[in-house]
Amino acid sequence: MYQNKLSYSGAVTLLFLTHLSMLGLVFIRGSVVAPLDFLKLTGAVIGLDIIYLLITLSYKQMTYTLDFMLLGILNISLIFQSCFGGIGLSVKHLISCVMCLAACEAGFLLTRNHEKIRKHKKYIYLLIILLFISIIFFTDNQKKWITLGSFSIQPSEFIKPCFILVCAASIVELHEKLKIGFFYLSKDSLILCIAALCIFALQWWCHDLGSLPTFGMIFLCALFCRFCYPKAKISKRAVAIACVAGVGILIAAWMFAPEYVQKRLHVDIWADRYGDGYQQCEALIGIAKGGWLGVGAGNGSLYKIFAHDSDIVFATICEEWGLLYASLTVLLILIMLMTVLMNPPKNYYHAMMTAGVTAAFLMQMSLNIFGSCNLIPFTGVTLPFLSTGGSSMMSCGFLVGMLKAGQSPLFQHEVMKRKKQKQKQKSAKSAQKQRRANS
Amino acid sequence: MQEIISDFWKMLSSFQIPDLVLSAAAVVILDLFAIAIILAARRESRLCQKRWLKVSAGLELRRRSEQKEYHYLLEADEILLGRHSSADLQLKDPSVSRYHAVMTVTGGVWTITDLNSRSGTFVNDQKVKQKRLAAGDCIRLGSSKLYLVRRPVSEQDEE
Repeated sequence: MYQNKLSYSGAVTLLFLTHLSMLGLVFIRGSVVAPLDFLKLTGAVIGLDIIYLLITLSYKQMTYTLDFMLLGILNISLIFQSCFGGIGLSVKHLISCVMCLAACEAGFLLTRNHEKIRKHKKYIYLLIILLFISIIFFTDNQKKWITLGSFSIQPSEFIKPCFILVCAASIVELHEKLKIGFFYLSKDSLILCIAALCIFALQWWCHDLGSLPTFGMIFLCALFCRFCYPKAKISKRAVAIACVAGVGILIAAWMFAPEYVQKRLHVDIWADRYGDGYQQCEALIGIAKGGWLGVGAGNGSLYKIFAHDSDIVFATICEEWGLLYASLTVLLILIMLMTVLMNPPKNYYHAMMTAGVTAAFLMQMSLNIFGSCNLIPFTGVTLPFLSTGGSSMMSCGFLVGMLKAGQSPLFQHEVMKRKKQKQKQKSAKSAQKQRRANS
Repeated sequence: MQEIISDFWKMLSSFQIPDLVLSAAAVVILDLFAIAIILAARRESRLCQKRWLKVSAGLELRRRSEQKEYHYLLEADEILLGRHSSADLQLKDPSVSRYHAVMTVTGGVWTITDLNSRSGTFVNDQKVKQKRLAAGDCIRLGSSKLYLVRRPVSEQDEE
């Protein structure tokens, strides 16, 4: 805060105004039946705004814009989700939003110090292995969900931030190379490639081919950053072989994809309107019905369709709020990713981390939006921040925390300074204690 | 209590405002929020730059050729010097190795490390493997000379 008082107070005021204007729209254009439900929603939105802003502004940070953006998008998402099929506070989504904000802070604190992450890289790999084991042994029949009473967790969502972290942490050790066959490879790159292959194989085994492009994009980003990293000394031959192999794998995947994937790739949604193309047809009709300004919050009919609040959430928002508002909300997420470009990271670790997070978000958003508009095959990937789901929201929050860490990194000498200060404080305290004991 | 709420509700519902005006107002406010965030991010980037100047001791590299003087800002905590196009600071000089030396910064102190280059790295005409640098030092890589100098303070930095 502190040095940017004017711009921050302006942003906070507009944040409140954005949410109030949305609530005003719900009140006037929406189908409010029970006033108490509407008041509950208003209280939850404004309460979350105030509490999170008080917590964030209570301690000094280098950057607050990502916090404001995240809070703004999450509360917009809470209003959207609370209006599907009638107005009433969606408590489940409110809890997801709170968990997302907590995950953001955790991500920021854990990934700020690049030296620490590099040192503890093996623990991240261990975490990935544990997540693998949980998916293979504890999920129900390749369904990728672990059910704990009334809660269900999707462990594959948590692999995303871990994978980006190992991609980033291993980039600076590229110059230590081993000769394997005809190639000079660094140990870290080799481990990373094996980890990536295992993740792809697991996605294939789980029939979760929607997440596969997201992981593929992160891995491509990691490879690209490696080519840009000067000390990597990657030869043109290696780049050419990698490109040919990549194209070959894509062609093979397209040709030998399982039957259910082939169906989705070649489905004519209008010919099979009540079969495989049902969701997309309804989504497209919903978008057309909504027009520019929508039919009003709670007045839509897409809420009756399966996965209206996750896989085809963009269409549901378009129907109720209009294409204009839905597009602007997506633009807001893009602006959140763009603000990172204004303050480029100062080391390769944070640069790779930022690039990986941006790639993951962009890929997921494209798959969801273009999928529900029938521009690409329907994948069933969630739309970051706007779709319902605790695991997805927590993972997205952690990823935003990583972006924040890239904006205000902790340099090594600052860590040393803090340690010295703590040591001084400790010694002063012990000296005081001794004096008291003596007296 | 419920009666009061329902009366208040009826009174509010009686106001008629066109949908178009309301929706347009909401869209404009959302746009303004996005603009405010972009402006705040711009101001923050200036602050972060000031912090970086502290971390990097506000130094830059200069190279003089026959016609021109080149300024290289030190904008990362690890800068690779060499002939290769992927180096952070590319020196198109055949006597410079492809990956010649690397400069790193910790707590405002820059250090240069030679990467087993052919012609060696010299600081103030002394061959070095690794050396701490100070403002005013002359770094020689092959036949190219670089000077580490303090960056002139601009008006923006002073703000």
